[in-house]
Amino acid sequence: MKKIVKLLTALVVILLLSGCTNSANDKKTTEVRIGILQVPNDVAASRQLKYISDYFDKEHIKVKYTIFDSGVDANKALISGDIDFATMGDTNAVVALTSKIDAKLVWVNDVLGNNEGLVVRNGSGIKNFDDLAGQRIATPFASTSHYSLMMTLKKHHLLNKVSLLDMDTQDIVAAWNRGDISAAYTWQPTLTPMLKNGHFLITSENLRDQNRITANVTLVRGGFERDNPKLVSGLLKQLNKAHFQIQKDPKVTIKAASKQMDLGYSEAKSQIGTSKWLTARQMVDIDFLSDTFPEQLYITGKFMSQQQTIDHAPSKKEINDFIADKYVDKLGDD
Amino acid sequence: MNSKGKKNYWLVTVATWLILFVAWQLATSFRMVPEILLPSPEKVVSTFVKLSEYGYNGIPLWQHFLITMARLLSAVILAIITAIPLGLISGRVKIVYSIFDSIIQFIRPIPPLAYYTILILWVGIGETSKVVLLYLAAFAPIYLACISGVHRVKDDYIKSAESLGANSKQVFFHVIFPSALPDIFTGIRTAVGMAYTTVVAAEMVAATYGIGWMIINASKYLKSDVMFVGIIILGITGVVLDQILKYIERKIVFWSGR
Repeated sequence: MKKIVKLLTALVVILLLSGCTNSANDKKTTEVRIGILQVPNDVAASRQLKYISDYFDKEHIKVKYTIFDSGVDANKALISGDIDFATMGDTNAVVALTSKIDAKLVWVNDVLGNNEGLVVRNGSGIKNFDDLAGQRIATPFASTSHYSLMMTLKKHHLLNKVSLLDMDTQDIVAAWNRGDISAAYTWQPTLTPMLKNGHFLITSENLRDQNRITANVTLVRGGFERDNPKLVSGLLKQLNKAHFQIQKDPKVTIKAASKQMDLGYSEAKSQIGTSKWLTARQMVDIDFLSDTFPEQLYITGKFMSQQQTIDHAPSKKEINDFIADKYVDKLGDD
Repeated sequence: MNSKGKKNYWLVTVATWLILFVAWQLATSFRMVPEILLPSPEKVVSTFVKLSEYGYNGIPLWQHFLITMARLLSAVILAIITAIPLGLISGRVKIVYSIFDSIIQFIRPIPPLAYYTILILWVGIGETSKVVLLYLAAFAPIYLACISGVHRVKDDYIKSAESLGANSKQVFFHVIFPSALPDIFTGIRTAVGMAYTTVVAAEMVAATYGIGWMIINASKYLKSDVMFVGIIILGITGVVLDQILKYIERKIVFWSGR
């Protein structure tokens, strides 16, 4: 009798444990859940220009947006199945890849420019990189900013000479205002208030010119992608429209993107800065998703594993399996 | 009969843990749960060994552990030396009670995370804000226990001491304080528990070491094995801390509960 009770208990526990993972998949898709960043990007623009809602209305699907401070929490939501799409920095995509989250990279939202950078306080005496030695530098760990900062520090042999603080973007502004830190590598909109009494030491645009590309990318949950390839194509088509639009008529796009966060036009314009919104056609033409970008992810993965932030460097094959470039290929041919 | 019954209950506890462990082992070895959600026991053990050997983020595991304990202990000690006198006096002197009690009653139920951001703005991102957060969590339980301890001293005891010629200082140190001691210890144990449950939160902002920080940092890179190691370390430490306090309590206030 006792044995039976024990066995039953074990079974119940096992069922409970395995049950958590399956619940999200089995229903028919009536809603698509998109994780967004608080930045004026292509998702913000195509949302405000009603590209996204027009498309999903036609398919009789509701759209739900969830805001994330960075890709860290978006990744957690992808694991738990709470969102279907998530925009994040490519370093978080590498984390997702190496921790074997069931997700695919389907889109590059923007290649980062001067919308991310290392700001130092005016009058702090930091004039060049060597002056950073002994300073406290804040950055959101695991982000593209963190990666760009580490690359920069490594290049100038400063890796063990500074103390790094892991902070969310809003905490960085608070610490900056209090005077706790005089340097931070972060992104917009956090940069704007800091640039009022600070200046750039280096931006991700400079790094881009040195062939160290960082980008914001969109991941789709594996289960969703397998069940609804049509919807993935459909959404990317709307984002692609925004990419066309910003190259043809930047004003309309920037104005739309600014609305999402109640920004002024000029603020949104400076927050987008020199980030590049490549259209699907352009990505195909320069072999971006099949060659350039996988190479950058490979370098990123190798660097992150050297820093022991991820437990292994992803192989080129792993990266190519992770990037589902068929959607962009098809869009580019249209 | 009695001793046999006791033995059986002890067995049930062991059995519960065994069942949990077997379920964990089975669920992972049959790959019923993705590894990212539930790493296998072997993986957690090997991660623990690896962390002990190479450290986390360049800092040895024991240093992460010690800094967390140092934050906890300094906060609790600070709470003990401030809350015990204040609590005992509040229990005896009505006017002191009227000044402090309502303030403490107001702060006590607020979740520490709610005022943590303000604390950071006030005292910065260094060690001070972390210790102050834990201190605030630990203060109220000790203070309240002292008051109730003083109130529970039988009037007869005080009166007999006074009739034997004890002055108020002697009454306080020889009658009230020892009588309140069992309550104070209960308060300290609760305080350690409260501060302990806040420790991860305290290490959430702008820390670069500590077990709580390690768990949070690992979660950013989705290293669930490291998170499990950290959580298990915190769990075991919590039980050990409480046992140590219980032991000290038994030694010092050996008469309590008899």
